[in-house]
Amino acid sequence: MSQSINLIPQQEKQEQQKTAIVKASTVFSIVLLVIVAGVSAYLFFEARKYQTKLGQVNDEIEDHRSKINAKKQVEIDARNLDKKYSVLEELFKNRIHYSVLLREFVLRTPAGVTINQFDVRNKSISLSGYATSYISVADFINSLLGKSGASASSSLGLEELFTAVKLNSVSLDSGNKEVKYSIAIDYDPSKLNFY
Amino acid sequence: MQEEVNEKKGISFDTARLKDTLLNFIVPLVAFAVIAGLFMLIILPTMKSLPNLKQELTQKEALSEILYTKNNVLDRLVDFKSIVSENSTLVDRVLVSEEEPLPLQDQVYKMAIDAGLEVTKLSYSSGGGGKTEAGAYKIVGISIGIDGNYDELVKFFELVENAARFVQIDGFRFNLGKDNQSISTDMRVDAPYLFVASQAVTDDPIELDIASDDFIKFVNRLKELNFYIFSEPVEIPVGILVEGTEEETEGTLEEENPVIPPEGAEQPVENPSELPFEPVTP
Repeated sequence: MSQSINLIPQQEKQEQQKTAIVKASTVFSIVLLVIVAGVSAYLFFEARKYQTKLGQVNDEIEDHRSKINAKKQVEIDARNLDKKYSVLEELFKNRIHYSVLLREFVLRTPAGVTINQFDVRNKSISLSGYATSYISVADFINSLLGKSGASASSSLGLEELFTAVKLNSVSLDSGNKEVKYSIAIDYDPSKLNFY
Repeated sequence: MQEEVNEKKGISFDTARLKDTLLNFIVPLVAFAVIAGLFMLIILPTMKSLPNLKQELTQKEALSEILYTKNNVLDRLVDFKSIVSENSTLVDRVLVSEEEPLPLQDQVYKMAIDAGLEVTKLSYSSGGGGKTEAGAYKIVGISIGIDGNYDELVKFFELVENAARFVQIDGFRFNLGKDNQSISTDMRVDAPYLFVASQAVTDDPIELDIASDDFIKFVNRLKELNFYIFSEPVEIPVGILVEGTEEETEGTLEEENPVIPPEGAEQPVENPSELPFEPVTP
């Protein structure tokens, strides 16, 4: 039976191990150094690229600002005009056209109904007057609410102008044999905005 | 003595081994030192600063774009300077800068007369204001009492809705007369006014676009209004003017309170042909 005999002394083995370790650590450290150097170079140039571009954009901004500052009075005039235009346009859009409201009332008021007092505030109308009969009052309320069967109706496309009608009082005036009524009406102001 | 020598040799032997180890690992040691230096001096600071740089660049590019656009807008406004000036004059006549109660009073009176109504009461009061999304404004109001019929009242409202200076009505009431035909109406006619003194803010964009459809439509709407010229005032009968508010005066308004325009304000136009546009008469 053959047996291998290692004639290398122990000390020599240690030397060889030590050499291998040194070699491995050297290679590893050099490889790591190359990688880290590569990453550093990439980050360095990337940051430099952004800084260069930032410098260019700052120059552009200063150029634009100097040109804008040279037209300061034009800017002031434009801002003044813009402010007034914006406010005025909203005023026009939100203004209530009472002419349309009154014309609508003419269309909705049936024959036999007289309006003696008429008080308009924002979103509500209080009115009172006389009618020839209770049916005329009912007809008037129905036409204000846009209900079918009323003798009077809107032809201006404002059927939903009046949102609620409340009969506050109704009584027969014995003197002139007419029906005295008092009505409160809610209306939608947005239906009277025209621009 | 032999032991001391042997001890000295032991110390020397340890130092020698240390030196030997250092010499063997000199390359890895230097490499790791360089790695540490690169990491501390370049990698770590750059990784911290790079996101901020990117964000700053994005913001600056956006600002540059805004300023570029604003510059183009201003160039266009310079090119169309006469139109901007005309539009400014037009807007200033519809939404005046100062209270100007006397021209307003004259305008409301004229509208009532043009509608065929009889004016029974006329007074003005200042104070109060309003607000829109675009900004706040002040108000001067004219309280008016008028007699006429229903159609004339409708006509008056139509004149109000097409008048310059801009006026609006905040509610009204009327009573039927004994003849069942005439009505007596009371109302307050409000006129907003707004003084603007903008400042140039370099980095803020300008929203105004004089070529936009909305703006052109708006200007055309203003040109269709009826402009009332105060340089031809109607003599308002003394009996109509009533006491009411602290801002009112009695008697003929022009004698006791001559119109003193504020500094820099436009003078009433003597000749309608001087207006940059054709006034429309009712």
